[in-house]
Amino acid sequence: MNFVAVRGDRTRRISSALMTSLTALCTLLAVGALFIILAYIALKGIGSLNFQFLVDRPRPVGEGGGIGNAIIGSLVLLAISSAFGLPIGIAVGVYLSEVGKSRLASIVRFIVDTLTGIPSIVTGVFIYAILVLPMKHFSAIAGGVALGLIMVPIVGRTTEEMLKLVPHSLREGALALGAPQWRVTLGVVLPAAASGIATGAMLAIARVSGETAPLLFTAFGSRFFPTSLNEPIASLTVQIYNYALSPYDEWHALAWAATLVLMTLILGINIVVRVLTRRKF
Amino acid sequence: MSAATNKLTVGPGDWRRILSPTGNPGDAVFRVSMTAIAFFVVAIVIGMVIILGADSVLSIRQFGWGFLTGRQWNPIRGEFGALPFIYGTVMSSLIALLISVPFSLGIAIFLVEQAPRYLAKPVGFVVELLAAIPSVVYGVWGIFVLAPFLRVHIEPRLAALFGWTPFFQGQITGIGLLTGGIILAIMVTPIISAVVRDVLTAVPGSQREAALALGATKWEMIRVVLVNGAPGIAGAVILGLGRALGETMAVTMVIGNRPEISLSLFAPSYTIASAIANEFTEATDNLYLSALVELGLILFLVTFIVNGLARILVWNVTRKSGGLSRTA
Amino acid sequence: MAVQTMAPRVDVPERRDAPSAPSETPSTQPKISVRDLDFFYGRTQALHNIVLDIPERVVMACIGPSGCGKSTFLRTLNRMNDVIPATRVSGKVTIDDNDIYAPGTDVVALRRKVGMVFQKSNPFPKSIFENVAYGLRINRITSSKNELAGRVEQALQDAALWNEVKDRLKMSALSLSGGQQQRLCIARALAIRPQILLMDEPASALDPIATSKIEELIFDLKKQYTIVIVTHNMQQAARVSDTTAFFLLGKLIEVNATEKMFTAPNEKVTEDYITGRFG
Repeated sequence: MNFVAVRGDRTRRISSALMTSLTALCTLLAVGALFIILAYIALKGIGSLNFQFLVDRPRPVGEGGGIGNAIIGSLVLLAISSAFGLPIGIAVGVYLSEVGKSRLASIVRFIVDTLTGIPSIVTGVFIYAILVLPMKHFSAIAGGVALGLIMVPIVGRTTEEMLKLVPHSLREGALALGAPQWRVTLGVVLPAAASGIATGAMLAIARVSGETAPLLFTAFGSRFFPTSLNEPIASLTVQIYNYALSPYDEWHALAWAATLVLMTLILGINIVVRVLTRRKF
Repeated sequence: MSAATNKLTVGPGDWRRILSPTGNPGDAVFRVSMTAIAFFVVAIVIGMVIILGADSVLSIRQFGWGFLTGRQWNPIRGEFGALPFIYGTVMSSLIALLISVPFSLGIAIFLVEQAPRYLAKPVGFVVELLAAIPSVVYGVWGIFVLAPFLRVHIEPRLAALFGWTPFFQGQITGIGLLTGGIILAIMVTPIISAVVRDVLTAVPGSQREAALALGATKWEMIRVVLVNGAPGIAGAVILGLGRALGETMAVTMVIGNRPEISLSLFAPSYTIASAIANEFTEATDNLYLSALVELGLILFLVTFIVNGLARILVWNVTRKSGGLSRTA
Repeated sequence: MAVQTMAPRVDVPERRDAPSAPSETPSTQPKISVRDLDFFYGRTQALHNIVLDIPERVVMACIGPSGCGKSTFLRTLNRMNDVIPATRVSGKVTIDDNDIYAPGTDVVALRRKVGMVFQKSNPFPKSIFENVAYGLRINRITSSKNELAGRVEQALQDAALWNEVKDRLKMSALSLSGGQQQRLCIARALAIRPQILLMDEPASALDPIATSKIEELIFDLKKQYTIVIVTHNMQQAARVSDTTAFFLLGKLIEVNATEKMFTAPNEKVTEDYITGRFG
């Protein structure tokens, strides 16, 4: 051989090869886990997936039924939460990036980060206390606000980061022309960061569409199509939960099918976002 | 342009100057409204603490510190002790970390140090997709796929091998602490590995070159990188812990929801989050509700501390790459 | 080529006396022999047909303007370029009759023999002792604690750092000044007793006093090691080296005894560079 190999070199080389194979194995297992889960969802869910399932509301066992009201309910909840969470989240992002002075902004940022880490069920308890109790009933509004509150820190931080990516020269160019800061921010900086903020919003929506815990005692759930925002409302996630925990095989199959629908939505958003952001970087 | 903005000079005491350094009224409105919204969010968080505290007062007054050590959770008799939930939460999270951390490290190391560039990005994306799967979906998969698999194939073997220890005794149903821990492990892995990836990427290449130039093998070089990233890795693990502590749906669907403390991993258990999810709508009297809210308060405080600690550790390491968006 | 003993002294405060003549006849085999070396970053060719012999126990300086390939060349000598993706090498680099690019070469053993010091010091986030001991530990050079401590002390002495750190070996290496950190990195490289030392602009990030300490060090090290040093500072090359190689645009223009290189170079373009007409 070429250079003088020392005793112990072979052990080191084998060690190194072993460890690097182990890391590859870990990655393979993780990728495998994802595919196993997705495969089960697809295989078990496709059987019960049909048009009837998508438009009908839950029926007693043996009569079929579907998730039509749950789908609509989820959409309603997403609409309410976006109406509440997106503007506030973006405003927080604008504050942190453009308005806040460093000391105060750090405190706000810290609190917003805290909000990210709060388990969603605790958020549910909070909304229960301030909305459901006074109103004396569950409602779509309460559910939507709870979800919106979860969205705020996510949207806020991505907005802040996207705004910070906009080069200063853009701001200075507009300011030098005599535009006031609010004009610069709303008319120049925000549009420049718009696509990034939009993808952040999409990810927040995807994240929130999968939430169940906070809805359990705010929107609560329903077997009927929604007629008012002031009533309990069904949602895809809570419906999956209910179907899955029931003792009926038939409803277990519906749980899988509903899961398939939910996962298609969420995966779809994630992949779209990924494709959009790849073009950027 | 209004006449007001034609004035180039705005005196120091003018309301416009006070509210905005430029003295422009539009700016003043803008800045005030943005600040107000930001403070509104802060107020909500503070409000959360207050409300959680206020609504648990009943329970706190009744049980005091005994709430944390009480082993009985009996709604009928009005006895509420949180120890079973604290135990279940801690144990399931610990099991999750024990399983997840080696895997997450392995994944992060592979993606940063070994995988060719064309492979690292898509594979990284796939691993991150695991984080996008909702908790309830993990729960469905857990009940119908993982639990039966564990019951039929894994737990009997574990019982055969380790049944002499107190950890693997008792009836095998597939639903219990072990299943909860495994599901949590899968859920927490993408988060830990994503943060560790950021941490390892932030380690300067000069460290790797220094090790290699001294004749280090690839793995020995990776160990140098790990030493460099140690505080960040610790932060990633703690972040994972924070997530595991608060996970609700998947856990409640596979852990059995029985408020008993048992050393056996096969036994059913109960976490704080699952208890709240399961029993909140059934809380019939104020004391019951207050006890559940107190559980929520405990969970809030614990996750607050854990996440804060994680943030400090990770912030220092990944500050340059601005990697905190992961924690969202 | 004949080995020159001294480079002309150019405005340097203190200098030690060099041996007036080599104490032994130098071996006629060059330590490092480079033939027809081409190097590619992807599709860009960074080195063109380099042919060069580096004798033993000699300091060779590689000079040239930014981007001329001198650092790339240096890194081919211990295969550090292997870590950069999409690089390609053709030609031969022979060290002690072994072609280091032959398939099956033990790169770990190669790097034990050919040490490297980088432009910016890169100590590990460990104690001073552990930094120097790192190479000894991973290469399993010694298992006895006493011997390990002895080797660490020797390396620190050779790097002229021992006196400054002997009382604080357990402290973090990052607590040292820039110049001390660089000497620590040299000690770390010397600890495993390589035969060849590659130095990539070792003093460029240091102040003049630290720089002159490093240069004195190189002078001492020459007695035991073959040193190849890349530098953009021509006065440094003149002070420190026995032979000099001038690179330009990835080609080796000229190799010569340092004294001759800086007073009467063969090529016009070398003379232009040295007199500052470009670069």
